[in-house]
Amino acid sequence: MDESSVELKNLSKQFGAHPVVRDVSLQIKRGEFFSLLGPSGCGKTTTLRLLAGFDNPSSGEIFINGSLANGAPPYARDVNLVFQSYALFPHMNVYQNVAFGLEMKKLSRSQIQPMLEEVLSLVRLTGLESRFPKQLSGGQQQRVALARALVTHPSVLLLDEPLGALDLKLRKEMQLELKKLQRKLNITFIYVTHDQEEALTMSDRIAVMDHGRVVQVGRPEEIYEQPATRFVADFIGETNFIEGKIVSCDPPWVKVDVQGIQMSALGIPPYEKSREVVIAIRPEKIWLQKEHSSSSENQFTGLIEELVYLGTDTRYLVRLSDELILTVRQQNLDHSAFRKGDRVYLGWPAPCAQVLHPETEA
Amino acid sequence: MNERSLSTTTRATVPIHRRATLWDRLLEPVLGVNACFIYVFLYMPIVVLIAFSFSASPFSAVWGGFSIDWYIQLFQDSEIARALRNTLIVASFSMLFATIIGTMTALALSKFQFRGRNAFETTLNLPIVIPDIVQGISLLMFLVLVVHLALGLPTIIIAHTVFNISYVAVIVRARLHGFDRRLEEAAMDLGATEWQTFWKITFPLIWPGILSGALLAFTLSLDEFVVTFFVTGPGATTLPIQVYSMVKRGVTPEINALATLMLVASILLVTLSILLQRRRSS
Ligand SMILES: Nc1ncnc2c1ncn2[C@@H]1O[C@H](COP(=O)(O)OP(=O)(O)O)[C@@H](O)[C@H]1O
Ligand SMILES: [Mg+2]
Repeated sequence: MDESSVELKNLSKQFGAHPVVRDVSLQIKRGEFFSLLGPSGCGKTTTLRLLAGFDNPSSGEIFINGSLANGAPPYARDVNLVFQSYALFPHMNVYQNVAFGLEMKKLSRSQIQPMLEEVLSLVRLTGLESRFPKQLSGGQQQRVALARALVTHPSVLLLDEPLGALDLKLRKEMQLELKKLQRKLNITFIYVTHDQEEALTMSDRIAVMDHGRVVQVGRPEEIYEQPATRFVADFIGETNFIEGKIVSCDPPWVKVDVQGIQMSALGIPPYEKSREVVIAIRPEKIWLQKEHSSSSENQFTGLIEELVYLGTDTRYLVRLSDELILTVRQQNLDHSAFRKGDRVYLGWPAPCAQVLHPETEA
Repeated sequence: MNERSLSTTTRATVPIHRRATLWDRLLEPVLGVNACFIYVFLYMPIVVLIAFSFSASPFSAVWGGFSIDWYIQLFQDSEIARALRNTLIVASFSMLFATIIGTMTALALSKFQFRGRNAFETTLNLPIVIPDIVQGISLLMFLVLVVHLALGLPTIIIAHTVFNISYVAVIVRARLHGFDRRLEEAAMDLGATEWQTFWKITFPLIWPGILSGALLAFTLSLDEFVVTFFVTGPGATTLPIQVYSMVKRGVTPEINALATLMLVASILLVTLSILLQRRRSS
């Protein structure tokens, strides 16, 4: 096992009596693209600031490249931050901004020149060396901030919603570029975002944060397919939440009674009988048919209440019982789509339904 | 917002047709005359003073033709030369000390959150409104009775530094208001120590504020009278004190010339200070 690039142990931070980061423990591997994902105000920026050394943790430990970093000033940490607001030096041009870190390392002009050319071509800023930040577009400023942080070859790059201020098209382009860049340089990226799609497409692993806590860590498909809590399932993508009571438990399967309808779902025991639980199921995992299927076990009947045509797919609201309506997404493969008021059969492969852990929220 | 500006422009360009009352018709001339009077009261004495500084007559209220003799005499007056030297020494040192201490205070106030910060900030501004005479007496008592200093140039420098700190701190603080602290964090993140960060990032961005504060401190010190009067000692006569003692013997055109020069110097310095304050970081 090689040592991890960054390790947080029970990290907490409070401002006055207000806890902002609560007991966060993470191990981030060398060269990993790791995302901190969570809604605005959940403590992502604060976590990065603790890592960069701008704030001191209230408790807990930070290890960078295996050594304890608590108390070390920002300039002594092999970690660079790309600020959400870029924080480019307004009185310096692009060249001076990017060269700043190298000058602080006491490199000579002749040493700086080739490194600067390299990094500027990497972020496609060649030719803009003498421009000042306010003479640049948002996308260009973003790339200057990136170049400035990359040029000193830190072992970890922290990025605080770096694409947040860009328009959608540019953001999509930059997502791909950043990902390519990270692969090429093989630097550990800790990437903060509140955009679930961004996190899912770019990350090797994601930590989902809620109210200062990390509620789940995993690969994008794990987070999406097996959300650990209702919060995660709700925050990432669209989810049906079905409330019911446990009938029986046959690991890893759990049978749940939902208003007289029995469903099986994947769950991690122990679960005692007749306990109230929530099942999560993604709309695109549910199939719709006009005829009864003889093979499937998780099969129900319903009535199409509403449908919304979305181009590549259609979103249906299907009523199973008085109080149970599920959202279903079906790709528009052929023309035999369903109409409002149709009686349909619907169901899902049991592994796609997930019994959620009860929320740990206080 | 848009609508409002639109309506004002319309009002300005389209004449309003309504009957003007007597008051309406009188308002403009009355205000005009009033403005004239204000200017006369404010500036007439100064204009007269400047004019008579160029009068050849030895009596300050009689015009005797144009001459710059008084200026020449002024520059040959050894007493005045000594007072000028003292004034410049006091102004320079008190400017230097007040600028350093005031800037550091402003930086600390904007950088750190500590208990009693608001109270500290308020009391810091207080010397600006404390009556000069109170400041003079209290400084005299403190410096002589508590610190046991002999009165002279050092005590004047200390006194001027004390009241100048407030002005410098207020001006630098205003400049720091628009300063993004994250720039300093970015610099430290890229390997700059606190010291390097100050000289490479903070100072280049706030120097107009610092210089503006320094110039104001220098100007205030140049013509400070009340506080100086209390803490001055033998051999430590500054220009305002010198002028005062000369006036006691009678107002001469030489004093007019000196006052004119002090006026010019003050206007130049204050103008420069204001220009610097307005200057946006490029
Ligand atoms: N210096 C501070 N003093 C007091 N509260 C703060 C400070 N910094 C952040 N907070 C609070 O901490 C919470 C989390 O902030 P932040 O880490 O910026 O969230 P995020 O980046 O996830 O949007 C917010 O409620 C914010 O008001
Ligand atoms: Mg943030």
